[in-house]
Amino acid sequence: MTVANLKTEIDWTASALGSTDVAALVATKLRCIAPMIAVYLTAYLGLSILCGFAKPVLGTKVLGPVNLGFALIALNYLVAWVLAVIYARVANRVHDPLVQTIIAKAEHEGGQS
Amino acid sequence: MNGITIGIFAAIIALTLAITAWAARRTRTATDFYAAGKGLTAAQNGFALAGDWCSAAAFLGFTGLTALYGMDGALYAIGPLVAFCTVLFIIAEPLRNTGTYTIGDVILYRMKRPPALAAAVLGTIVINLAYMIPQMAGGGALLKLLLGLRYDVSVVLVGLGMIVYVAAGGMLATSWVQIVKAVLMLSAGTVLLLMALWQVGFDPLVFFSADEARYGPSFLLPGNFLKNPWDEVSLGLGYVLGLAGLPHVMTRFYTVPDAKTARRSVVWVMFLAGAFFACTTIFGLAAAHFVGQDAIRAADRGGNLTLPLLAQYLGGGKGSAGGEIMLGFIAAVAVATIIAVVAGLTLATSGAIAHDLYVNLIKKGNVRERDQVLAARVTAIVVGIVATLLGILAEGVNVAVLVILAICIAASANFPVLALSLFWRRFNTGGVIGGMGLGLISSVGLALIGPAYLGKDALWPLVNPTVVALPLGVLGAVLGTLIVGRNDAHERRFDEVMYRVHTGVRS
Repeated sequence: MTVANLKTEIDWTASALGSTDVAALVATKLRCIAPMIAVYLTAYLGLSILCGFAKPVLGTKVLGPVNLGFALIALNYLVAWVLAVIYARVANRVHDPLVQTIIAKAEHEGGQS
Repeated sequence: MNGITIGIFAAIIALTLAITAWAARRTRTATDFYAAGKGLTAAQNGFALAGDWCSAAAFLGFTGLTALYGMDGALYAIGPLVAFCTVLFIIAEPLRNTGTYTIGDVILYRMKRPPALAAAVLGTIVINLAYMIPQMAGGGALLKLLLGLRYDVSVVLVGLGMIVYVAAGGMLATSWVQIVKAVLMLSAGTVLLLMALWQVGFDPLVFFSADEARYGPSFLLPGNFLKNPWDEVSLGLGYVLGLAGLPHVMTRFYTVPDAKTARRSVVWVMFLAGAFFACTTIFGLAAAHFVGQDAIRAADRGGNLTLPLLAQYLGGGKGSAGGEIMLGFIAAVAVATIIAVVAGLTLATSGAIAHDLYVNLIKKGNVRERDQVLAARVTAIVVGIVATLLGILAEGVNVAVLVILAICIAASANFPVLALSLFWRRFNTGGVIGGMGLGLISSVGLALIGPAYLGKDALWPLVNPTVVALPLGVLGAVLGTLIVGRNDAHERRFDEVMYRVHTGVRS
């Protein structure tokens, strides 16, 4: 079954069909992405703010000739890649099955009405 | 410039024209034209996204900035990767689920009101033109340098190329041109990286210590290029939210069959483009070490020829066969980069005009499939001609700053409107107009009175106004929503909207 081709007739005003399930899906998604958004925004905007206002701190050497600034830039690459992989795994294993359940339910109830 | 460059360049053009001829036979419906039949795989779309998003500004600019200004160049390079986190977590899947060909589709579906769609179209056109003019000018300058042609002739050639790709082959040709370009760019990057690291015994730390010894400790510190601390913050904000509002990148998510594939294509581009961006930092540091800032500045004051010069050095130096082959290859890839990016921009602009404005707004969707494709092709040709003319007029004008403006408008106007349309129940047409209006006006207004245009007489200190324009855009969206007031039917329909946003089912 492809989502794009699926046609269901749903009477949105007569039943609250789907809306509670969708709300639950949104809540599940938010539990996953909210902390991840907090992490990358903190890492990246934090770096931007440090670059603007704390230059000497970023000059601290941490690894041979590499200073804290470049280390934080490297950390941002790592954060972006790790978060992307985590998100894709959670979305595949948790979000997608929930979506399939909602669609199956909507088809079932749509068929009855 | 030399036979090798012209040979490689001709081979790339021949390949892309063959692709276009192949794609043209497969482009019959509007879905074919705007969305490549929605048939790309995650890997294909990931490569095409990398081809679309890594403009010449990234390819040549980040390397040059790092070589001349140290850490600020590396800061420029990380933003475009982190920006994909916003796209992945918040925008890509809902956009794919909700719209058909354009960002305007999402706004129209949510609001069902013509003024909301008109505001979205205005945002798309302004952003795309601001983004396209510097690309055309850059393409003209590069071709002039490579082939020794006149500037205006060079711009016309770039324009002609993109018009042929887009008008004849639509999204299928554009996608494959972008894929070819991404493969070329990534192969060139890999070869350069290995050659540069081989010279220093695979210890990139050598570049840091050598550059620091040669150019002083401040080279490895921020603030050499962006003098105003708020410009650093503005740059960060603009990138991290602006990408998700750039129409020519967002339309790529309509080329895949479903949200899951859209998600996987973002992961692809994050590793492909991200690795390349990281390499530009190494290339910049290596060029400062091997080529030297004086030689880089002598070739181009802005440092835009740093990467070709580094390639020439690593290939064996000026005059050697290896050096000329490497230089020719990098230069040809840079031209391919520009054509691939302007093709994506032309397509997205023609979507906003032919699909949003003509088919949906004026004709209320009552246009036959064949006429939709015809309208799209004609619009692509007109957009291409306009962009070419603007590109010719831009000779000698500092247009690079327009890219910053485009990303600032995308972050301040498009992104808040798009995100609120997808996630805020009370958001309404007033909010779309308020957000687009205030975001656009404050971005353009502040850029015009800033140092980019007025130099020392600037009335406003920042080159990049995102740090002020973005809050204003969000404020406009919220105020517009509150002024228009609540509408029960509109808010009840949000359940249906949420269902489609999160499942992709079109009821």
